Amino acid sequence: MLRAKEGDEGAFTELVAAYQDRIVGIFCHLLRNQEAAEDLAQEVFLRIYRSRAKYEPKAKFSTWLFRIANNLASNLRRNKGRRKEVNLNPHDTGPLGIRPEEQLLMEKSGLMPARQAGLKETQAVVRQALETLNERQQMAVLLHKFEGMSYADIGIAMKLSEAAVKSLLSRARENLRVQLEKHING
Amino acid sequence: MKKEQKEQELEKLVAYLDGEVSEQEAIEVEQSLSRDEEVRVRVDSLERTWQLLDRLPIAKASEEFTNNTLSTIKTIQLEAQALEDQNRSGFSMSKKTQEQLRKATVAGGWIIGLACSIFFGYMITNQWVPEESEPLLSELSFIENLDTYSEVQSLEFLEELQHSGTFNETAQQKSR
Repeated sequence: MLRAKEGDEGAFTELVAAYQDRIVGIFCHLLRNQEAAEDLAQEVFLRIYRSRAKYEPKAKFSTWLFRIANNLASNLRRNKGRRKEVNLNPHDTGPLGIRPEEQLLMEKSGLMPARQAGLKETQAVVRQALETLNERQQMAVLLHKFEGMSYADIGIAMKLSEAAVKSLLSRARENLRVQLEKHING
Repeated sequence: MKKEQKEQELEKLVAYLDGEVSEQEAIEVEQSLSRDEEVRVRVDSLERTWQLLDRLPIAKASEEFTNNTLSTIKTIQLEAQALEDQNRSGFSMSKKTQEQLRKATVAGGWIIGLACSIFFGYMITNQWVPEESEPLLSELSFIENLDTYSEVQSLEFLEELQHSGTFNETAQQKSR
């Protein structure tokens, strides 16, 4: 990022390449739509590009990145809430459904149709359980589970105290446990 | 157990699973796990729930994402550059206008200066060239008494009359 700050365009390209999957992944979980997730991820990188000159390496770059991502996701949800145009279709072909390349991969890996059906079912159940969490819980879970971020870093990214993150994650985890209770022993 | 206490217990267990507890808290949780079957079951189900999230497919950016993003950034850069150029050209236009204004001011100054010169020149010239009526005005009393002066005929005659005292007698008679 410091190289990008100095105007190294190549360094910025490297940054996009290094973080794009992580950002798109998080947004896909939140929005359940690949296209919308990529649009928002693009906006994250645009914002980073625009504010690169002001970047100060006070916290980890990834924390700053996810803070911007969290802000954008919050804004999007707020705007959609205002317009009441939430057209997110959980059944769209997307990250939480089976994408063609994943289908192909599973076929190549020799997964049996019954096992595939089982996996699809589990994914649907887990996805539904995740959807029962509120937006902040979802974001905290995603950052902790898929990004491996500490409570402190999640706090910075979500503008929360460490204690608030601790409480948020414990409630989220308990909610998930209640939702998935029938499946954890299966 | 009160709700608040239960929440604190849950927070501690989850933080323990996440490796976010102090050494002392970790010891406390481990002691609780060793003596309480219910806590063990709870922690186990929390952990297994968390593991279920691994079943979710991990989404990745499409192959075009990097190029699309960089192209968008490039487009924005070009637009910003164009806007800057436009602003610069707008600035030069205003400079051009300023230049024109400056020239107009200089020309206006010259015109006013010239007009003033003409005016003062006229005034000065007017002072130097005498008017035709001026001698007539200065000799007005003479002209008014011209008939009387004509009757006198000569200056020597008047001087003789003055010496003879005629004027004094006439003046004394008038004063009476």
